[in-house]
Amino acid sequence: MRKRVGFGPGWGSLRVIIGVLIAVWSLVPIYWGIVIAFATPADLLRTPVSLLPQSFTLDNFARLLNGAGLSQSFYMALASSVIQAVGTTLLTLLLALPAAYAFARLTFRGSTLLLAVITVTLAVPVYLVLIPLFQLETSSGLINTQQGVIVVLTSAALPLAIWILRSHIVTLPEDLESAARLDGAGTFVLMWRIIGPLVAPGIVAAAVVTFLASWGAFLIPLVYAGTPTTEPLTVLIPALVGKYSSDYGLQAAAGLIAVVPPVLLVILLQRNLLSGLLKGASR
Amino acid sequence: MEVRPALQTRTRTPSSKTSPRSATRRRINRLGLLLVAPSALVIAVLVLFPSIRSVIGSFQRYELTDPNRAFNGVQNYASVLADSDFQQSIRNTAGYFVVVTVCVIIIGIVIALWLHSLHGILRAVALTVIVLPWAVPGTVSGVLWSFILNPTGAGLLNSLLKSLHLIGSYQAWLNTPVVGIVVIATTVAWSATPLGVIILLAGLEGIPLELYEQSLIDGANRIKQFTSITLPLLRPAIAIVLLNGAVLSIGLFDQVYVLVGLDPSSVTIAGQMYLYAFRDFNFGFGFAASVIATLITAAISLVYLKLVYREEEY
Repeated sequence: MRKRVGFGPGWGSLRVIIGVLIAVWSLVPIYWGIVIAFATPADLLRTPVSLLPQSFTLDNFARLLNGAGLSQSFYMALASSVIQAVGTTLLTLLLALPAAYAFARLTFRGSTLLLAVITVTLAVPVYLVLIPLFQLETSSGLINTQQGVIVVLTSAALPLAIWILRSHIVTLPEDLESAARLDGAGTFVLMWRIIGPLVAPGIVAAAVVTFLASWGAFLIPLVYAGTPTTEPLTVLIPALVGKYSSDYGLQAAAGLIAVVPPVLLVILLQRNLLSGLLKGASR
Repeated sequence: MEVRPALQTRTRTPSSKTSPRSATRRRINRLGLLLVAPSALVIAVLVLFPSIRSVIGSFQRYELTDPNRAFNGVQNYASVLADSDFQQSIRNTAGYFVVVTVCVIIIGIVIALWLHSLHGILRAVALTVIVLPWAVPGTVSGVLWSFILNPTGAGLLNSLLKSLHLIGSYQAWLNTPVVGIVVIATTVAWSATPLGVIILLAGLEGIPLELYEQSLIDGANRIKQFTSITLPLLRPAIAIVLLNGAVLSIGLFDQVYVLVGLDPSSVTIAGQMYLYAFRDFNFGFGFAASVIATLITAAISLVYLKLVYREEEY
């Protein structure tokens, strides 16, 4: 039993009230989006609005997923979102894992300097490199391609991923590796077989942070992938009101679909993710 | 195949010509560089060189019709700093920063303290609910809040306040000067609070319980405990949240784009930089604006780091 200090009488009900307020703050925007996504156009015009849903229709989703013209744009954007976020996450982990291992375990010539440089790049904001990368992408033909977005998103996510993974590998007992090495495991086998499972919370944290950042990215795809075949959901959805129609039901439905993958990820991996992040945050 | 256990410094290879130590050293050097090289290359090509390119470009003249990029000293900086749109973007950024950080710190501390008092499944569920806004992409968050802030009676906020007789007529929240900034900043705080809670919670969990027990013996009440133990020991965590708020406010783009469009009256420094570069195609101004924004961020970071390290000396 953990001892809590200093909670007097009255704390119980205060705690409930604070809990309700916190839930309202966190959930109302999402709740209201759900209400609008499933509402009929007539309901959206009703004033004053009612807090509880007055009707239920799948019409908005049907138009988004089956409607002529519009659904094609929607599916293309959905595919672009998936390709860009998954591609970035995989590439980032592939690059970051070996680097993080090296920084955590090997003292090689230049390691301190390289780690310092990578730490500094954590602080480089995206707008500082926006124009030069635009020029680079234009001259190399990568502009308006999925690869072009993936490379830029990866470079933005890499420093943090290396940092998170490194801080996890550092905490592992070194005896384990020595034992495995005595059994004849090479460095790469060691990394994937022995260290891999132990750093799982760190890998999950790095992967989720990278996925969330690239799934939610807006400025980078806006500049480097503004064509119908390459723009992700984050770029399409704001344009839905104005470009195709002015009905909010459609926009809410598209927004909800865009929210599903990251929200599911956070709910499913909550335990791993938060312990991974708390570990990173506390050092 | 080379010798396997070469990584171990204690490996004994008796009577070899070169010292085993230096051979191992070389191998570790090579292996380390090999493992780091791909990441280092990506970061060099896509982060470091472009950053340097921006700094150089900020001292060059850009004209769409003239391919000649002559150096023109600090002309871009002088023009940008004298531009009333840029000055407005600095004021906007300051406004976003104040509201976002105040909201995140107050709401974040309340939530973190509340979470800290829970345990078991209740805590896990609460944490998931609290972290959810973090998973919502910035533009989608903007869209969700636009439904709430709609200037007509269809907006949730207008509707609620009117039925409670708190407002006489429906308000165009986003298009009112100052109010617009405060409202947008509040929506940004909604997205930024989860990370703040995670950082503050980590800080809270690092405070030794004995301190509270000792203060109980000394007769301190809850408020005294909060002001004399919790708050001072949370200072490093609060500094990180502040720093994060500053970085976020200077680079803020998505929510502003969705809620009010890229209007000079509401964009941040990063938004104004985007307008220079991709609306006016004046890369020189864009470079200068991006360098100024980065310098401000760096200066704020240094101040905070200094504060945090001074705290830890006590």
